[in-house]
Amino acid sequence: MMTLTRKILPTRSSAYRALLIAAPIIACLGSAPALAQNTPQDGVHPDRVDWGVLMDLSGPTSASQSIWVAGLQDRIRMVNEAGGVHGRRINILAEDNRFNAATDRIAFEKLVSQTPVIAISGMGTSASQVALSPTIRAGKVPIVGTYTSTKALSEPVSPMVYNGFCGYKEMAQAGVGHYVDRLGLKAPKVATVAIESAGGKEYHDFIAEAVAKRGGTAHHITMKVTAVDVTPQALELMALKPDFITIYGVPNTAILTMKALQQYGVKIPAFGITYLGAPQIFTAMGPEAGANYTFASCFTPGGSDTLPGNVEMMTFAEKVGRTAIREDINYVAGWVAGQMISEALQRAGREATRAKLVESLSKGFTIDTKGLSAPIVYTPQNNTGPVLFRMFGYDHATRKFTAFGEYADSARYVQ
Amino acid sequence: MSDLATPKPAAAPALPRAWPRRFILWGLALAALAYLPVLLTERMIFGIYLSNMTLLNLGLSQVNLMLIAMLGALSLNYLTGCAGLISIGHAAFYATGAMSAAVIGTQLGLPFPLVLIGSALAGAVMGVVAGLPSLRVQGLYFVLSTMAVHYLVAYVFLEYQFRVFDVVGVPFGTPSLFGFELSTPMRWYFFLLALVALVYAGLSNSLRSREGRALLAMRDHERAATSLGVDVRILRIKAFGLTSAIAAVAGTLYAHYLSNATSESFGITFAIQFIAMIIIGGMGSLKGSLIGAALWLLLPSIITGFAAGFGGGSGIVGSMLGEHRAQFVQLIFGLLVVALLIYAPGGLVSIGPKVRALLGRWRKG
Repeated sequence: MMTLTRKILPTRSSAYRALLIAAPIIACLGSAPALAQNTPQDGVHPDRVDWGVLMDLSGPTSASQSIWVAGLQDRIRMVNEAGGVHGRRINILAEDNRFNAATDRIAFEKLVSQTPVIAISGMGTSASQVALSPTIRAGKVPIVGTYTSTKALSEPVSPMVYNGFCGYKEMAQAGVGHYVDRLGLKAPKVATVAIESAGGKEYHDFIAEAVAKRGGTAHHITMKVTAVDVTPQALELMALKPDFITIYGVPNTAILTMKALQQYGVKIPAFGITYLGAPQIFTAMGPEAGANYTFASCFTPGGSDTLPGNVEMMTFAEKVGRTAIREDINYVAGWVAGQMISEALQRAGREATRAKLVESLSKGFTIDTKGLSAPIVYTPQNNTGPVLFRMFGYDHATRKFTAFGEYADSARYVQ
Repeated sequence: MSDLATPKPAAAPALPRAWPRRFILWGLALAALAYLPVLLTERMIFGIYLSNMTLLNLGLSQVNLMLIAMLGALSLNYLTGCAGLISIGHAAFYATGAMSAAVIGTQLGLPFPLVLIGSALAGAVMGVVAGLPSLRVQGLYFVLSTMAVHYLVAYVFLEYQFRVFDVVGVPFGTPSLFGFELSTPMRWYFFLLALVALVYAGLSNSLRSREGRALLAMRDHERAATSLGVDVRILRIKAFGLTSAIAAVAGTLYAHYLSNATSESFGITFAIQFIAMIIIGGMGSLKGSLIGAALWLLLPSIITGFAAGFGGGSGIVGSMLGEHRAQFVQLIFGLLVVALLIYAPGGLVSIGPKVRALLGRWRKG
């Protein structure tokens, strides 16, 4: 009898195991219909449009990139509060790539097919931008408003890519042109202080090209991104005696360089890249070292003028509790990227799709930032984005940025 | 009389009772592995579209990169967990593989199988070079020597990239294995799955061999192993050569999968992540390497998915899950890892026997 029972009925142990295996499978299959969604392929829902953002939100460059995302989100929040675009709310899906090419690829593919979005902004990691450029160019999701622009993605021009930040090439041309004219130099001697990175080398190459056109010479001085002492670089600069310095890197690159030069009583004018345009950088340098430092920017920092675009951004930032970061140049750039997003969706029409968005943008369009930058013009032949620059310094007494000249002035330097 | 004196008669040879059930479970596991890429690509089951969260916010690229990471974790666990040689040079071996692939594949245009072989050879040579200091220095000093190798290779990669290519990085084409182009994530998946299985089986078998046992003996008590006639110097170099060859192949695959690599792709944090994988999975356990790599690559995404699903509310929690989601995910992931290291210092692989024992006690009442 016992044997018969064992043969017909499963043993206690095997029943438990079968149950253990079957339970999750049944639970998954059972819950599938309940959890299933009819997700539109292009991220356009009846009440909202999903738009992706791919940036470093917790990695080594998150200090600047997360501020850019905050600016973008605030601009979109303002648009949503005003009723959205074509009656739909814009839903920003911000993915964290941790400044890692592999994570970036995963997040990119997620935004393309898993949580489909109509378009993507940001893409702040240049290495992964390069890696993904063939896929992006092949044309699934347009990239509107990039945080950094690599040659691989920008050249030749593609209807799938619209740059949204100041390019290094134009930055170098405008900065060199401004300082050569301001200092009245004939054969400028320039030093690039840059962190050891591919971007740093690329930037120096642009500086060297711009300086060579004016009959001068450019020297490349590197430092680690994690440097805490830049005495060797300061000594090299003192030996070199350049007419001016240009700085590429993270905030510490600029702060340490200027402070080290100040320690030795050396007053060489310097300009940093746009990303190094935060009030905290000037505050950390102090009035004496900060007096010799400016940065080249295609965006106007928050609070530095009273033009409508700046006032609107400053007011909204205060309303949503962003007073601490609203003057940061990354915040302004994100805010402008947010404007690009809403205007792009406006152009795509009521029944927007990825294809319609690309079609409408590829014909060319202009973004009027109401003074936050020069008008940003995109044409079928040129999607470079912001190309006109101004130099900005910082008045420690009033704690406000001060501009040198107008955006239009740099038109003669930028080619 | 003792048992020793009266040995029991040998049982008649028969198939173990668990054999059919094991066979069925293996079959089910293989079927699940074969269906996984279809599910993650089509994102539907029985014609029903599944939401992103139902699929745990996972995609096929994640799984493929996890499989590549598994190769790195397996090789590092063999070196560190089984041979007792702590190394933080794995990013350097990956970079060596990527560089070799660039020379053999991108520059010389040779077929992909030759690229893989060439990368493995270059990796083995680099491994032997990296392992040479182990003949003279041990412990933390040796760890530092592997770190030096890392920076040397990173410098060589940077110079190579800028001299031969440019700032954009080193490009890698679509690989093809005897006419089978790895042009889609699904093709990559099946290729990588087979490769991981092959490497796992190879390393497991090698641990059961005479040399494998000598390796474990060297890890446990180097002097005792030497007194038994094991030449630990040769063994160390062999372990380095073998594991760095595997890591270099993984580097080749990584670079090809991402289609581009720069000198910044293989930083020191890249090397440290493999150490984290094997500690989380279980030091000295090859299974643990697989589990650790899976957890390291997939868990942050799963947490992100849940955080996104529950985000959007007001208050501190809403703010954490909405605006500070990335930091929240890192925080939760970090806390989980800390909890794991406290309660399962032997890694995730040590939890299995504990759970089985607990279930056993529960079943017995």
